[in-house]
Amino acid sequence: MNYTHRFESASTLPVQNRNYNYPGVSMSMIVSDIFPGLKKGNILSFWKLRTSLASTARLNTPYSTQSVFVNNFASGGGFSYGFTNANPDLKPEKQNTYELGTEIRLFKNRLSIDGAYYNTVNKGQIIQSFRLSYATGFVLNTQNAASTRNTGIELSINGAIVANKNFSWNTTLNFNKMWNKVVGMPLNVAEYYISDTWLYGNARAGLVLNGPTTSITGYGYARNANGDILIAPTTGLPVVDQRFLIRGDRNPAFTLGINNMLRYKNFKLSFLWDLKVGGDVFNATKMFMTAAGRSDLTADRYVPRVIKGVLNDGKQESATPTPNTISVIPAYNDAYYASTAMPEEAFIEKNINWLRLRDLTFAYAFPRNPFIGLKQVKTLEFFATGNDLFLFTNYTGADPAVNGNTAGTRGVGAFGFDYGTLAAPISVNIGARLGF
Amino acid sequence: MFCFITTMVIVISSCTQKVDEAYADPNAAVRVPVETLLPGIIGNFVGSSAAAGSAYGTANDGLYIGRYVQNWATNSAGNQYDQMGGATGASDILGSVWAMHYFGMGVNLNKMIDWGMEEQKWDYVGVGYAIRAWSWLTLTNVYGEVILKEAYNRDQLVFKYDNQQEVYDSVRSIAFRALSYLDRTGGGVSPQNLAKGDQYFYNGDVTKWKKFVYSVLARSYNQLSNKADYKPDSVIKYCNLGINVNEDNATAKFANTGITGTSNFYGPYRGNVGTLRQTQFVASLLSGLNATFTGVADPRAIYLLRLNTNLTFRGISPNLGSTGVATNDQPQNFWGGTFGTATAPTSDTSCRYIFKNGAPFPILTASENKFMLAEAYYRKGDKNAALTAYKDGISLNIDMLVTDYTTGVVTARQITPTVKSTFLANTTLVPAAASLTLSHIMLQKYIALFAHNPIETWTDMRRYHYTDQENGKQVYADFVAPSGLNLYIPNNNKLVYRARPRYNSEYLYNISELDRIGALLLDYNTKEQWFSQK
Repeated sequence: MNYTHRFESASTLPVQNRNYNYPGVSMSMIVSDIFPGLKKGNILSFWKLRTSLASTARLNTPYSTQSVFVNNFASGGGFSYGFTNANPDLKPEKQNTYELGTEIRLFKNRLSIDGAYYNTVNKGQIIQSFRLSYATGFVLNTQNAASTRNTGIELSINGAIVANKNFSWNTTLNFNKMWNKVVGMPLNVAEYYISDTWLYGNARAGLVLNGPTTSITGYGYARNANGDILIAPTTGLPVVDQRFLIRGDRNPAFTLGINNMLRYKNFKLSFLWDLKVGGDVFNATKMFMTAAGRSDLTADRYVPRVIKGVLNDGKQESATPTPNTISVIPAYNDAYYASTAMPEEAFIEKNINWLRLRDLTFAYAFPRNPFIGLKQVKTLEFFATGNDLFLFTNYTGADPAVNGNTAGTRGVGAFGFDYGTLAAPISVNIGARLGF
Repeated sequence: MFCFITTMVIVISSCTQKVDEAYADPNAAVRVPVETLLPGIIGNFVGSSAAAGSAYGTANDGLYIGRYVQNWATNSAGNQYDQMGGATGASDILGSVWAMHYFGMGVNLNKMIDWGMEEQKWDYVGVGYAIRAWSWLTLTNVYGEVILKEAYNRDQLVFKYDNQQEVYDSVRSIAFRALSYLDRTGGGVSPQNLAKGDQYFYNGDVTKWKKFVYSVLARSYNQLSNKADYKPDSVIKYCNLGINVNEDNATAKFANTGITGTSNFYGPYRGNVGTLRQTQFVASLLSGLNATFTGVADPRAIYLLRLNTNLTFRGISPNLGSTGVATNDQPQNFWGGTFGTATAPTSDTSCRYIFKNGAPFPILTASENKFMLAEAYYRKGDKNAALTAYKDGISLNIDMLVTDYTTGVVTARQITPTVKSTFLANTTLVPAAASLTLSHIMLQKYIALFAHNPIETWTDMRRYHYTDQENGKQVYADFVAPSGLNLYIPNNNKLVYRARPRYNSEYLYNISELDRIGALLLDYNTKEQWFSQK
């Protein structure tokens, strides 16, 4: 059993909140040692249970506690405060993680399983630049006002399937599943978004109370209570709901990595498959190209069609809404492909899966010292590696593993926002490794 | 060990101080001299201009409130505010006083007071409280219930509205606090230093600031004339201590250097009054066509109003545009352009009064103070004293126009001492004390506040519910409130009594409170405020 307690001090915080501390407790027991009887029969080799409770504090950005002055242009000049309430009462964000894990090794350590469940709650998360009543004295505010929860399962299975002198085969599976939720947000803030994720049109990584932290908020189709798309009676085109509502969730159902390592005498072959199931992607590239008439979606532009929906004619919420019968030919009506009739929602591709061969390496290690006279060289190995050789996906864009911004983006980042992002290239490396 | 710990404690505690000293944001100032805060705060009286937001203040909302009180109307038919409508939709219209109070002056004013205290600049502290007292009163006059007790709490998410009576109480206590600080000397107090901040207001004269505070107090008592506990003696007391000569007028002045911030909000450079034209009501009032002043051609008309091609003063009716006004009777715009012209001239030579780029903008005048005094004496039953104050009010207004606003008035029509004395001798204008009526006082006050203070005029008119009568005679004689199709339909046949709080402050982020006070109703603008209720 371990107990740690950290005392920290951060100059980015105001004096009264500058010094803070947090505890951490962890406990583990090796069940197989406590009950040696479990090891009988050479099935169970090792069993450990572990649990931990840890807190950490996360800091505000520098100077976010100090409101600054801007120029005032009134007669006499001088200064006045800028829009931002850089809050002098900020406290560090608190993150509490509860984790429960186990490690089991079976068949003389040939098979090992490591599983963990974690539950992380972030409290008093600092929201920056959100609007409130001007009664705060400012227009944009900074407060410890949000909280989020992340729970997940991590499972790692390692098996030595074949282990002979000349041939061995090792497989590792990494399984990951996460649930996340915004559990606390000021009730009067309908949506808070990270502006760095607002790359194109009207879709962004907006957080909504009780929604996921990985949501996509954006404009969508206006619908009646029955869920039918509303069609403007004058044009035959859909009516757009210009509210940033949750239209997608980028969080995958699960991810699985499969790593194989095969060895035959001096030959080695390893490959890593990467499987992702679920998670939505906003294909802004396609939206842009559609509006420009350059996407596949516009190939059938001369084909007349009637958009399925009901007319927005006042009867749309009644028991008998008017079905849309207005035929449109997009080629003669470019509004058809515009964001005013084909909103962001239409380009949020749902449940995107992928299976990709992340890495394939083939290597040959020469027998000991083939170089007579070069005693310094101990080993020599030739290898060839291919990255991203295969990608199987239901995504219509270039590559669903996109991040619309850099890793430096705040919050959960901009993964799942595809605007002109290039696919990961296929790369091949050939080389030699010398050991001295 | 003890030595070690002691040393560490000393090191750490001195470190903390060093950290704070070192840790000011290097990119922009986090503390500035109080002298540099005051000009921007004063700029907010009329129309602010800063790198963070502009047009907060009374003048922007005055464009709409001026329509309610028929100072002016729109030159084309169908304007929502001509119809006494409130702001609707995602609009910040009529939210400028709100933004002025909470943000424009807001924390700038709080900090000026805090830092003024630290530096013992009691004059800056007093001026801060003086402006805050005025600001609370103006705020509640426009909006009714406002956020009082929870204001400026930067850690709060939702803000509770307080009732208007509490705001009036606060105005008075803040005013008394202002007076106590303005009385203090020593420390960092000096007129030269105060003038660095209020050069464009009172130029360092704390005596004038005190008079301003007293007149604000007088306003606060005068506005409660409908209340059972109305105290005319309090009005009289504070009027007498307040602004009684034009030299003491509270006036925002402009450097007029050719940029937005230093230009009068109503001048052509700012270009905000292009579609506004004087109303028939005010034109008649100044040209002898009003029932109370029949036949009295007011020499101030040429200062305040615009002529038409018939060389007479005529105006338009709210919501009708030019309808019913013959082409030759249609007044020029306030910058001297034709009736149909909405664009501003490049030069302000043809402009007059507060419609010039550099024209001073009155906030509270000696004339207004005298009319408050006149009304209080009148209500108290002392008609002789009321008449004296009434006459002083007219006289002071004329003097102010002659001193500050003669530019642009042709010599032949300028008010000379003779013109003035002849005018004041007119018994229709200045009757015998026994014949003085509230109508005389309120209509002359209406003229004295014309264009620069529609908010106070609105407060007056709301006290008289626009069309209240005295002895069977309408106080605001000949004032015709819009009705029928000329009254905004969502008003439900009621006249306007308040503005809704600023949209982007309250209607997105403080909805639960708005719901509680009824501000989500479409006719919230017609809900009568506490101050005017019996």
